[in-house]
Amino acid sequence: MASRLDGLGETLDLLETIKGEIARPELAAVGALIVSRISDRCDAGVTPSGSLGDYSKHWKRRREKAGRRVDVVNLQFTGAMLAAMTWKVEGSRVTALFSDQTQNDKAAFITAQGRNFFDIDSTDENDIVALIENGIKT
Amino acid sequence: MTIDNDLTRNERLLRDALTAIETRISDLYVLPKTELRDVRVSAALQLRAEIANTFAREFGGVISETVNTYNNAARLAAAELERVGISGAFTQTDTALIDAMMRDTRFELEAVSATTQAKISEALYVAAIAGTKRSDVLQQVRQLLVGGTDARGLPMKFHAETIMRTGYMETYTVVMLNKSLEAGIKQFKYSGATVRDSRPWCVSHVGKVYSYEEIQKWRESNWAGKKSGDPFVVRGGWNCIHRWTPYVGKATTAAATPTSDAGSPDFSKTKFVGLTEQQATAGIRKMHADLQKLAARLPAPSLIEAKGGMYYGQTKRLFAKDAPSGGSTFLHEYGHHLDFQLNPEVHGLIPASYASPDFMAAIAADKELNKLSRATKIDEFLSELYTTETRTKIEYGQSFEYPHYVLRNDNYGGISDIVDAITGGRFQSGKSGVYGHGIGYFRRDKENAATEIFANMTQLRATPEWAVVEKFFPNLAREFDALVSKGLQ
Repeated sequence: MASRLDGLGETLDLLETIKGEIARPELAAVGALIVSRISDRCDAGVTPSGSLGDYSKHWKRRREKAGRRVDVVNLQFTGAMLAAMTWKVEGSRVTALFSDQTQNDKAAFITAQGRNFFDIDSTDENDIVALIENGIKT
Repeated sequence: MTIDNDLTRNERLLRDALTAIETRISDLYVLPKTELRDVRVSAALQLRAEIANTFAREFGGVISETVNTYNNAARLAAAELERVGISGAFTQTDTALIDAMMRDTRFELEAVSATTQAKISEALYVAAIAGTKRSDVLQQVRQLLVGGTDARGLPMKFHAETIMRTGYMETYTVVMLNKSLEAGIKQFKYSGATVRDSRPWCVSHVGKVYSYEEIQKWRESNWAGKKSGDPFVVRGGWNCIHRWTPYVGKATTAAATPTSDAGSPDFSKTKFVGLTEQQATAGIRKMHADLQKLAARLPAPSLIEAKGGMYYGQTKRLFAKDAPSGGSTFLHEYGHHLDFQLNPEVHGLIPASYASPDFMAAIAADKELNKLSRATKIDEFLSELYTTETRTKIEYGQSFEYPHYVLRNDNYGGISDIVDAITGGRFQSGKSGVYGHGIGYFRRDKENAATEIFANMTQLRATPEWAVVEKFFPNLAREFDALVSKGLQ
């Protein structure tokens, strides 16, 4: 891909063309990538900025009684919240979200506690750029 | 209106229905006060029709309400799908899927109701024959409906809740399938937390990546708890908490267990209390060569302390009073450690012995081989492993003599524990001096029999007494070696 900077107008036209060329499947794949990365990190008990912390003594006892892991905070008891993670594409915007309000509220509560699991890191960003670049056709 | 609200409402309806059923049965169950068994039995049989009517009236209504909730779920899901960018009008496939889920739910709930009715009727019939006290009979009925603290059979409430919760998880996977197909995703990772009750099927697949076509091939396999339907949607089956996440990249198999060329475990991160690293290493050297290699390959315990005899899987803490000398307790507890670490993907939650269908089948096979369900055979083993001496105790001012069992050979303690595990604690029960864990221990957790057998075999593998193990428990000996070999691959 190449552009000659004969003028700002032409550059802007080219950028609009690029935006238009980013097809919906590529953006949907970006959504899928975001969800898969968040999912993997939760299973490992980490966030883009570090560990998910530890459980309170009371909740740790409840989890142990129910046969859930207590050595790592993986945000899973029934598995419903992470199972409800999904994405949507609107124009050139991709949004990661939860497919029902109940799970969305759970995620909001967890994030408010300081467990910022619903986020991406720089590696994810680079991979997203690579995904888009591979999909651009000129 | 949210899915959680629906679940809560359905559970309340279910509780109310079960309470109403229990109350009605209590009112109905008034047998004639007579010594004549035939009269009591006849009265109990006449109750069957009344019980069936009660179930139809109370629980039939709940079934309809619950199934109709799927309509709500479908409407909610349609609105949510709109929010996440899928057309609000369901595709034909999605509507058919929801319809099928509704039919399945109705069928399953009706089956649970019918089974519970039959069990209650049978319980009343047997009670009439035996002349059981009314309060005991009603306690049994309660157990079957809502369960108690010591439920051996799962009560109706549990089954019904399982059915409802499973349905909701499946709606999320329908959404995931839709979105993934739109994104052109062709591969999926089986994700989610492994928990204590996770099925061996799920444990063996979690973390691995499959194409959609490979996932559909799961239909050809069978496992306990499997649910009929699209494997992408039903996953491991009832109450499964695993999920399919889209895989954007090359498919890889699950990471291989790290191998180590070192001849002994890497104790660099192990805390030692009451012993040294050298003593622990010397203890490992007493194991069979393959077990030493396995110990070197797997993560070491986080703590080894010279006291008692216990092992904690999730935190990898090992306690053994004879750890400094590498005695049988240390080898036994290290056997537990190896068992829990063999499947790294379960993070110490589920021992490999219990997760292995072949190992579990071998327990049953060797029990049958030795006819260990018979008291006479248990006595034969007692004679084989123990001598007896007579001891005296004083109780209530009186002197009583009782037999005390003494091992013929120190290593026979491990064999005694294996027999006790196979018999669910009956071997040790009520017998002074007999090595084992007892009935309460094996009843407490269904994995305990497998784990104790594995730990004892670890201790015995390098001893001359392994020949006794192979003679009496050939199936278990074979499967134990198979698990070790698999861990070394």
